[in-house]
Amino acid sequence: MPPKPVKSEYIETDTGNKVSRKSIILGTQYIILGGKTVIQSDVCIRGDLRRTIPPSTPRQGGSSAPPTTNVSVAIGRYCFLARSSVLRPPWKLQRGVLSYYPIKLGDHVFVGEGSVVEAAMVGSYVRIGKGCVIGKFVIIKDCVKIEEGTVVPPNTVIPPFSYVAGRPGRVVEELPETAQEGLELKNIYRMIG
Amino acid sequence: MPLSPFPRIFISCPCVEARDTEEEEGKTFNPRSERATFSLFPLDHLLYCDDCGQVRCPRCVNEEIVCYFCPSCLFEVPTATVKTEGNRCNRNCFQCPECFATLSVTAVDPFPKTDEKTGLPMGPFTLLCNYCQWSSAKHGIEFEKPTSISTQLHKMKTANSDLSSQFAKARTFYTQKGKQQDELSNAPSNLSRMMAMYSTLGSLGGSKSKGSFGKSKTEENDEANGVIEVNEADELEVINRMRNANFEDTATLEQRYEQPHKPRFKDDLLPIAALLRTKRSKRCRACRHILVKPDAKVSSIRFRIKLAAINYIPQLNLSRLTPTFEYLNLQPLQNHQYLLTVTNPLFDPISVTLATPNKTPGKYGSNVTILCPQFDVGANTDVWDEALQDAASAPGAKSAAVKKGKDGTGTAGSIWDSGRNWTAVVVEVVPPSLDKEYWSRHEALGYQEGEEEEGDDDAVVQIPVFVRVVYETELVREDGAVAGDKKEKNEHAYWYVLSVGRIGKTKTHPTVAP
Ligand SMILES: [Zn+2]
Ligand SMILES: [Zn+2]
Ligand SMILES: [Zn+2]
Ligand SMILES: [Zn+2]
Repeated sequence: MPPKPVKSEYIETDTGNKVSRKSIILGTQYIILGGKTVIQSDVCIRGDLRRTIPPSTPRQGGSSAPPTTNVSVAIGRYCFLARSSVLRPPWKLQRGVLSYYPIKLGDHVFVGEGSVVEAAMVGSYVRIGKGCVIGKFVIIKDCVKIEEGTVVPPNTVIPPFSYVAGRPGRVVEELPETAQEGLELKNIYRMIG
Repeated sequence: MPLSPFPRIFISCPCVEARDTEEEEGKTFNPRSERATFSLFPLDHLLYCDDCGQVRCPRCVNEEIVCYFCPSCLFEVPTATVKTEGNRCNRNCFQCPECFATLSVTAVDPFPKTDEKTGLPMGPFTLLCNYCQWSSAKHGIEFEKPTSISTQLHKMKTANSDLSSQFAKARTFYTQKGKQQDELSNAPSNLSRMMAMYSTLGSLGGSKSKGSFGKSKTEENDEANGVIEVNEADELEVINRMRNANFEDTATLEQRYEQPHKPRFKDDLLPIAALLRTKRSKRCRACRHILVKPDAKVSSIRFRIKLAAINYIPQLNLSRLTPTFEYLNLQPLQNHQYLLTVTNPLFDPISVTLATPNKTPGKYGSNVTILCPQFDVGANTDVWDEALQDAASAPGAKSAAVKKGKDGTGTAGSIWDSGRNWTAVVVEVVPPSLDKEYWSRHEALGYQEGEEEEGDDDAVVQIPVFVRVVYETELVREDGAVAGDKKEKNEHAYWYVLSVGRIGKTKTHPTVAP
């Protein structure tokens, strides 16, 4: 057992986020936290992996290119990032150049211990279990539950009210109409810190 | 799917009793009876009909489709299209035939040339699995354009297989038959026609079906209806290929099942078009009252109507009073204390009566005692009330007398604790020891000592608890006004089943609490 820390484990921000002192958050200026979000120890958020566009190169026919933003990771309210989970912006090669795209999480998103998320979008009221891998550019809609140890392959779209399990992850069941109430994270926020 | 962890709590939907004629009222519900499996649901899976004053499980509701949508591109598909083109996405959404992950349209060339004008990569294209790297190009399916893959694939399919023509034949045959049937019976609606179709189809081979369907087997079996004929040459070819194939070259049962042409070899697997999903509204089967009506928009999670049982029926929660024992290793002949919390969702206070048999049903009955089977639970008052109460005096807000034993165990006859709209009581469980017969069978089935058996594991302690709730509501008159101090008495009574853990082997040394 390590000696008890004198300071409390969490730093509370103005908007009520509780961030563990032992988390690894890179590129904080490119990360948005909606408030009341809990970030546990050893969580890693790669805000530094953001889209960089060399200002000198003129771009031709770039209509399909996504809009450039200064945000690489956006997290909503009442999210819970459990121990050792990783949020990393997805990337792809475009004309031979590696470029990152932002990762967006809605409200009441739970990311289980040790899970790695490289999704493009995670909706609200989503529970990702322990030890999951959410591949690049995955889109998860609202009210979705992902079973422990699931691997969701890149580019997968998961519709609302889905229960996903397996490797590769497949929708195995429909969630009941009460899913939203069951996936709310207000109580778990109050218990931390 | 993995079993959910202990403790588990289910409610038995009363619709199961309606079918029971022998079982008398007042008899203990047996969670181990075969029929019980189909009536037990977690509270959040149940709806509530306020006209019938009864919970409604998936078995006692009728569903109506609000809309069809593709789970992959999330586009809504109009009902008319579903009728003409089938229940699969006709855009670019496909599943891997090998591992069932989503396929992406990718250029075959890993470094494709890009189109001068659009800057998009140029073809040919393939459907590539993001998980197992299955590629349609490796099986001779390449696409010119990255769009309307479904149409391109359909053209290829019709070119090299007669399956779709067989389907078309069967379709025209049955449509014609359907029309004839219509004229014959002068059926007023599509529904009765469908009913007639199914009832006669169901009795195919039965002797006295009147309709034109299933009149005689031989008549139906002519070529016109598109019955797939077995071609001997084809079968021989399959046998020959099978001789030279390795085990891993053959398709698994699951893979074959998903393919309309039921291929035997992995090489013959085709991409699977995404199956559409639906949004459905639900009605009470007994009174047709609407219980669930979702927003028609595909991505919306809102409901216009949602009568969920969690807002009407008390919720039961179970936890260990002292975390000195493990749910998966309950000690035989030892007393395990649980805390049973009853939460009231109603705006009126409720009186609760709990009843349970002394010994749980099943081969290995456990002794169960609820220390305080009768108590009140406060109303689910406004959040503002709670805030005000908290401000006034937090501990004083508790109305019920709370008696905790000096040694931290429960006292018979009194509740353990209570709050605004919840009350907790102590439940004691003494499991028996399992005999040699159980353990040798358990081992023979290949389970580890602390592992739960699939299906009905005799070692799992399941406690049936009859929960009776009585409360008074203010009587609302016809005109909507509250009728003075006249109150209406209401009652809910349901069988709950608490799965509290699994009996283990007696430990030789006592456990030390962490
Ligand atoms: Zn029912
Ligand atoms: Zn689609
Ligand atoms: Zn695959
Ligand atoms: Zn009803």
